[in-house]
Amino acid sequence: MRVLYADVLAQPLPARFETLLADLAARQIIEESS
Amino acid sequence: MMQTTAPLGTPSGADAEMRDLLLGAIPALRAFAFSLTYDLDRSDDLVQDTLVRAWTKADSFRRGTNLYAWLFTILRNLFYSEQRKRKREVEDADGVLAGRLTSLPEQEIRVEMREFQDALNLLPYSQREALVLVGAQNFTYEEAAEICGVAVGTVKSRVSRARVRLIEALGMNGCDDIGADGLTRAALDQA
Repeated sequence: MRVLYADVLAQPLPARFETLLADLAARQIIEESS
Repeated sequence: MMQTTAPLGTPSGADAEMRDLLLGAIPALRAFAFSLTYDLDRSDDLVQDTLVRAWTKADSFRRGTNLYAWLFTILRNLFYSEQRKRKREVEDADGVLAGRLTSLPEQEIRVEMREFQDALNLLPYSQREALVLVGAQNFTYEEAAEICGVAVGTVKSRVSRARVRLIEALGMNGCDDIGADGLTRAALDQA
């Protein structure tokens, strides 16, 4: 099974995930400061 | 720069540590999502929704417990919620979605591996997810049961039935009759 999904696991992570989490964190900071 | 402590009022747990934990879980989440959807774009959408839900509900996660089980539960719930909204059959009886596997970049799937994927795709979602959680993601039966919201015995039964159906679909006499392809043998051995 691990072999079966190795292709998915080996795919480079889209940048959108890191961007998303950074955005969520930043949004909280803005909300807290407003 | 990402701050190291959560601002006042931030849901407890939504901090830089949680962010790093979530980032580290993404590959496993993508693989699980893909095992349900057979569509990488849809998988990434599911993972994104899971991350948002996890972040906004971070206060409901108890540090020290199994983060992956919590995240997989969220992803699974989102997937089935989406399925219900779609109100259409997506079990992919024609193997259309599974056929997209071959379009993954630089992917070379051996014939026996492809046959295994096709057989896996024919399993009901409940059996497929149980097999993936236990066989591919290394969750214990107890953890898989928690993720799926069913009894441990139910997960064991689903995994067992999935194995039998895979063996039947692949025309094998048993797990020892898997063929010459070591990849497929390893895959079923892990399951």
